[in-house]
Amino acid sequence: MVNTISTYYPVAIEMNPDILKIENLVKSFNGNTVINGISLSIAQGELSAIIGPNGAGKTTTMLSIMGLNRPKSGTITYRGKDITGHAPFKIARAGIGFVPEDRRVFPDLTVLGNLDVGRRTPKNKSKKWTLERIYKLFPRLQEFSHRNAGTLSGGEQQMLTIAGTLMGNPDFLLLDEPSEGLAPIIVKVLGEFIEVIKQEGMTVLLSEQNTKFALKHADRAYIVDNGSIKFEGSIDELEQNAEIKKRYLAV
Amino acid sequence: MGIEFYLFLLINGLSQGMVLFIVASGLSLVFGVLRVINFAHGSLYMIGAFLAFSLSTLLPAGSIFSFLLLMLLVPLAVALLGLGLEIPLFRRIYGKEHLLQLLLTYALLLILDDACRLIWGGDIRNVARPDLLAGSIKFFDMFLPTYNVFILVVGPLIAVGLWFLLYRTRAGNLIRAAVSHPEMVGALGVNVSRVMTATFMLGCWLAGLGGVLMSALANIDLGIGMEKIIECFAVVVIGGLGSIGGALLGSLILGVGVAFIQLPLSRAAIVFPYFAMALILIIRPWGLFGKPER
Ligand SMILES: Nc1ncnc2c1ncn2[C@@H]1O[C@H](COP(=O)(O)OP(=O)(O)O)[C@@H](O)[C@H]1O
Ligand SMILES: [Mg+2]
Repeated sequence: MVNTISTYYPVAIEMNPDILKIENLVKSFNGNTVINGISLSIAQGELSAIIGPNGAGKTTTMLSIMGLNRPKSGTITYRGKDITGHAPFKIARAGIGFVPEDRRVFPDLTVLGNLDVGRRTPKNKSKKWTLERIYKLFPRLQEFSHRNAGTLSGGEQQMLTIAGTLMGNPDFLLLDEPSEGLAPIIVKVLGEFIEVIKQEGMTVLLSEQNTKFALKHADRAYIVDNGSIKFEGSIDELEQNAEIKKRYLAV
Repeated sequence: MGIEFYLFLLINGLSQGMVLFIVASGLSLVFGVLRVINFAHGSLYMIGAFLAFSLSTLLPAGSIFSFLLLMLLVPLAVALLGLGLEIPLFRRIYGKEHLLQLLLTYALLLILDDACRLIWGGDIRNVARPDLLAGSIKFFDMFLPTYNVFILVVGPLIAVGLWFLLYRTRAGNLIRAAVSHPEMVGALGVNVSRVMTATFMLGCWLAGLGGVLMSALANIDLGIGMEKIIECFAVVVIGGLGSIGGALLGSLILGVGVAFIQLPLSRAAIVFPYFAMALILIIRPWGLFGKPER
């Protein structure tokens, strides 16, 4: 068989270059260190999960990546460029999309207005996420497109926050505890959505307290507690590590 | 006194109210998005009025184009002044404690008012109405001053324009989104400080436009800035801070109220804004169109 581009292409993908690298992140609030030297690398096209209990430092890590807080030390590199402490809008324009944990919809804007705020076509890229695609994925949003976002249910608001971020056509998505406080049926919809974007090759960093949900979708896991990483590895490696499972995953 | 007289009062009150709306909507918009009460807003309005006066002396008198040019250039100049104030000063006080904001904007009021005194002096001035707007219009069998009617057209146009901008454009979506979660707007890739600068400039533009319109409606002197900022506060208390519809209703109530009370009780007209404000604070502290604090 002749080697064509198409047969080489998967090889290139398999190299899985790291898209995001965090080195020795330290963050403290009023002298209390809450992130104590976290390092992680996220490979292109993978879904990595940060798993840990409430207060472990998951959200703080995500906010640091997004430029929404200023780390005390450490570097965050995205596609080889140091983005530590850059303005959030610049980090977003570099291709990182952020879905915060508290469903930050704009309550006085309509659903359509919320999606409009997120709309952005990155330079030299095709518009992957159009309104039509978003509506196809989340039909409820189309149904309620002219309703104020503040009137939506918690699950619908979570979908809207995700959809708004997708409208910016990011190539790396931060999902901060997306399943928290959602009804099981909505969590299932969320899981289906995560599988869809994984299929599309989106790189995702998912933070979760919900271990079961995280492990179901992740390729790779980081277990954090008290501001530092206690385990990192593939899901298979985690499955084989009885001690970690017992200590941190309560199984 | 016949109905004609009362109609005249009404038209006068409404046109004063429309100018007040244009100025107050700027104050309200700036507060709604930036959470800063700009005490110097009235001074910016006064600067607009005096700039219109100075510029009008350089342009051919009586021409409608001269006046339209004033309406075009003066608000832009005031908006640019706003840009010059926002970047070094206002930007630093967003989200800071109220006392600090009050200190800065009040100091700015004093500085700008004194700058006006230095530049324009204490004389009473006005801008001559262009010929086309100087006469009166026949309305059934009554004559109404054309200039007041002109303001009654411009005011609603500005109201509709503002509504369109805020509720029908992406810029409006960004401005309104920044009201609730500015940091999230930034995380979506929007340069929020630009949105804020633009909003502040729009507020100044409205103050400047109000100034131009007032310069040919009534006499202007060094007291009009202070007078207008107090009226603006009354308007936003009545209508609800941050609400454009509330600013429109509050301004018209105030303008018409003052016009009618002035007639039997000229002195009482001065306290009417305070009276109306106090009444609203008692029965509906968040204003007619505002929302109660959660
Ligand atoms: N703005 C803040 N000020 C003070 N302490 C904070 C702040 N944000 C987070 N923390 C503390 O940092 C720790 C980690 O919080 P967080 O990152 O939100 O945890 P997680 O998202 O894993 O639940 C917690 O102990 C929390 O109380
Ligand atoms: Mg969290």
